[in-house]
Amino acid sequence: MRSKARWLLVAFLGMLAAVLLPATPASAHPLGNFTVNQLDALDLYPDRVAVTAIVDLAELPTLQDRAAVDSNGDGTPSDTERSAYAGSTCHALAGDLTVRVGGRGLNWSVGITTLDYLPGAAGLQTSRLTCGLSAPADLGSAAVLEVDNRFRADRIGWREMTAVGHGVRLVNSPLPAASISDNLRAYPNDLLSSPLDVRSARVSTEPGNDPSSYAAAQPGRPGPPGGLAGWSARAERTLEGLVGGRHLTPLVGLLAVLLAIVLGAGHAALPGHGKTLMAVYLTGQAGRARDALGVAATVTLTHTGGVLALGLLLTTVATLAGEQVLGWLGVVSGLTVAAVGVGMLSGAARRLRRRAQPAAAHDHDHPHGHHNDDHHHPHAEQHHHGHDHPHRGPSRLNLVGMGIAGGLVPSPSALIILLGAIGLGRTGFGVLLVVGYGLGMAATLTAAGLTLVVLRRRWAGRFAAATGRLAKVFRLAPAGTAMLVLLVGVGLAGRALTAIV
Amino acid sequence: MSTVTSGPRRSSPARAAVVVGVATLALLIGGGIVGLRTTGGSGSAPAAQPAGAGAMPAAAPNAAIERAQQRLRQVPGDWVTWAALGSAYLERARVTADPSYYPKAEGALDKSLKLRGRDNASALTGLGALANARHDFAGAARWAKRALAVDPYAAEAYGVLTDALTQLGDPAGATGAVQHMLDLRPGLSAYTRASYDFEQHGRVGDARALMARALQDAVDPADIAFCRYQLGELAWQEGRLDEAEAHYAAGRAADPNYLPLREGQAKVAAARGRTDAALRGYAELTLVYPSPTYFLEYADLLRSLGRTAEADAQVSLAAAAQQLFTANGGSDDLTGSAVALAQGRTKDAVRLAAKEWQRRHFADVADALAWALHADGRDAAALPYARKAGALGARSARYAFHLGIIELAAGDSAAARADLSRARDINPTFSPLDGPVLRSALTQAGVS
Repeated sequence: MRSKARWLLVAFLGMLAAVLLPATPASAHPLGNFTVNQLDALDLYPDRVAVTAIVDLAELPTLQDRAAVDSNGDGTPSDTERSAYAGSTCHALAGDLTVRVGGRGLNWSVGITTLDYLPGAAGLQTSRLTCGLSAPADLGSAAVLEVDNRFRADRIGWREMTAVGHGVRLVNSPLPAASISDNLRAYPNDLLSSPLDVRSARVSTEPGNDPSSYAAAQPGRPGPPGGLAGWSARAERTLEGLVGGRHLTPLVGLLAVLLAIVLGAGHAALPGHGKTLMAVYLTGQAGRARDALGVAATVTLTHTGGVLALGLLLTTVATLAGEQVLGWLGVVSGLTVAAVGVGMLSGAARRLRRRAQPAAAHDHDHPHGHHNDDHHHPHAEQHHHGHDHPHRGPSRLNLVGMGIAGGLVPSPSALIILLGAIGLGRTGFGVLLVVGYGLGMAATLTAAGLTLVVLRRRWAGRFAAATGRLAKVFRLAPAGTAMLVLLVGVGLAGRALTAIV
Repeated sequence: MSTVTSGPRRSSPARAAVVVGVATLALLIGGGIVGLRTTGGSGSAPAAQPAGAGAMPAAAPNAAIERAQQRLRQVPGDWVTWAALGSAYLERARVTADPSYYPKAEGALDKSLKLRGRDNASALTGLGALANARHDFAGAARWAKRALAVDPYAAEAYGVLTDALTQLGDPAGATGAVQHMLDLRPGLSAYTRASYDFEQHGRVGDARALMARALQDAVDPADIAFCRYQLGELAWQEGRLDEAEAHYAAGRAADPNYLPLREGQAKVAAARGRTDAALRGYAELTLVYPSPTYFLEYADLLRSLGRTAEADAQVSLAAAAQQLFTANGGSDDLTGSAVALAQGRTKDAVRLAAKEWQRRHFADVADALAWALHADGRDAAALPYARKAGALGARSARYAFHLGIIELAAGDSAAARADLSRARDINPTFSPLDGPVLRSALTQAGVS
């Protein structure tokens, strides 16, 4: 019920974020009115390479070329004049576009060529030349393809290349599969990107189908994914915008904190955030409600403190690279988890050993209802039900370690918000937002933990009446989960280490 | 400690919920309070004032742009870096002659100013430099003065002010501003501006010495090319073709991408009678950098060779380029007047030049207005403007030629003889089209 309400709130704020988020502007010719913009779209087949070369000429080059198009000089470029010009220019382009497969240059045959005029700025026209080129090539076995475009190389302009395999797999292609300028129709023009200038590329190919090449990385900031990660990315940018806004009204400040809390909650709800670990731990270690709260509180405290410390460090020490620090924190976090795993393992082993002598008989006795031994009875009860006994619940040290591991790696978005606020001289506001972020995380983690505890209690109640074999499994569970925690910790540390070395 | 009853167990989450709720409320109220006090913790000063935030010819503007872009993706509120990025975009526009970086520069500088309205001298200076680049010299002077009001030690703001005042026709103010800049930060930017200031006053020797000193300070290839081009221009204006050619060639060796050097080489080739090389040079240059000025120079050369149709084609390209400049929000009636004159629209040429003269009393504008009036047959009206063009003492063959021709038409042949001879002495090859006119006018005025 509570969780449902939270999701409604999340959905509402996600919608709000989508509304508040300004659209990225795109402009006709970001590079000015005398640019020659080019796109080479490569299609790779097992037996040939096809290129759709598009040249988008801005107003002045269009005018400069007009005399060449209008060969009879009557002032209007007729259809025949246009196609003649398109043909000859595409041949020139084919001469300047080299593609080598295995070191051997391809011989282009020029297919469809078109030249279109489009209305441009100041009552002038722009033009768009399209050339279809094709050449036989052997991509039936692994090959290396080198592309080099020297057509009108001295002209300023946007230069883009794309590559898609059809029955050919591209290995780590440096070229995206789709044009980010909608085939030179809408150029991205945000303030933080320079115009594309891709003039050559080297693509390795293998035989086989490659649907993933369609999702090849595009330059620049990737678009927000759908679903939970999607709204959270949008909300993050909205929050960044709020922090950077010129006027902070009370409403905006309030909204920003609210958004920070929701973002924190959402961040903790995203996969891979130590919740699984916490779940395993609490289940295996007979966790209680208080333990769930403890872990959540530690995560929040560690995360808030970590973000604040790292933010301070990054603003004072200019040479520090954020990624490196995050990487090392990841290693430390993984090692902490592993350490907790070791601690759990030794605790579980000790307990098993301690039980081993008297329990050898007890274990057999228990299901047969010989509950006469007053000394053992309460312990057994408590173990099965897994409740409040201080010696049998998870140790405080392990809990804190788990919380630290979960909170140690600061979430990049919280860090960015803090750094942004510091850059603006709104440090106090930034700290407030980070605290809000931590609070949101704590809310999700507590909710998850409490749910687990409640579930476990119900199940345990049911299992109290179950057979002895299951009881044995339950007793062995701590050792298994300890092993699992240890393995996960080592894995996390290893992964973080490979990322930075 | 260990309570086995279920009561506390249930109350613990409830208590936690209360605590969390109270904390959330406190946070929200805190957010509201911060919002009320829009000027949050001003004690935390931003990292460090970037050294090259102004119009200082930055080393490798590309690297600077990338660094700033990356930083701003992480810290979108860093107004210091936004200002630095804007200036880096502007620098890139200057080096590549690509005006599309102007809107980007403007966006970044505006953003910086929006994030930090008070004492943001670097953004104000950047906006001033941008206004200069767009020929809004009055606006540039205003920005520069605002920057200096915030930070009286902003050397680059004095540089922007110098450029603006020079173009606005306030030579005394310009000299004062460049002196401030030289005092605050003697270096490449200050030397090149001081050199131009000397040139305006006809002190060519001093101008050359300072530019040579600037060249010594230059490290970046683009800066070396810039200084070489200016040295070449100083030599060209005095008709010393060998020296000019050597400087242009040295500049291209340093940075082949600095486009004005091609113009220098083409016009020297034309003056030398190497017509094919000159035509090729202009053809290449106008393809890569289609500015109205270059189109008009190319057209002059073609017309001097009797290739009228081709010349007209270049003039219409100049008109289109000018049209686009205006459509992009620029206002340059000086160039507009030159285009109109080349198209034979003398009335328009006068109107546009007069409009520019209202805006700024700069020598080039006076010269253009005089020449347009002369073309329109109003020599009496033209004469005072032609005199104003040379009043500061600039050694310009063009000014002297225009003055002499106007004097000749106005019937003052003695003055015409003196001024036309002066033009010939300064640089007899100053224009492929007007050079022959100068020679015949000298004969007409009685100088053999």
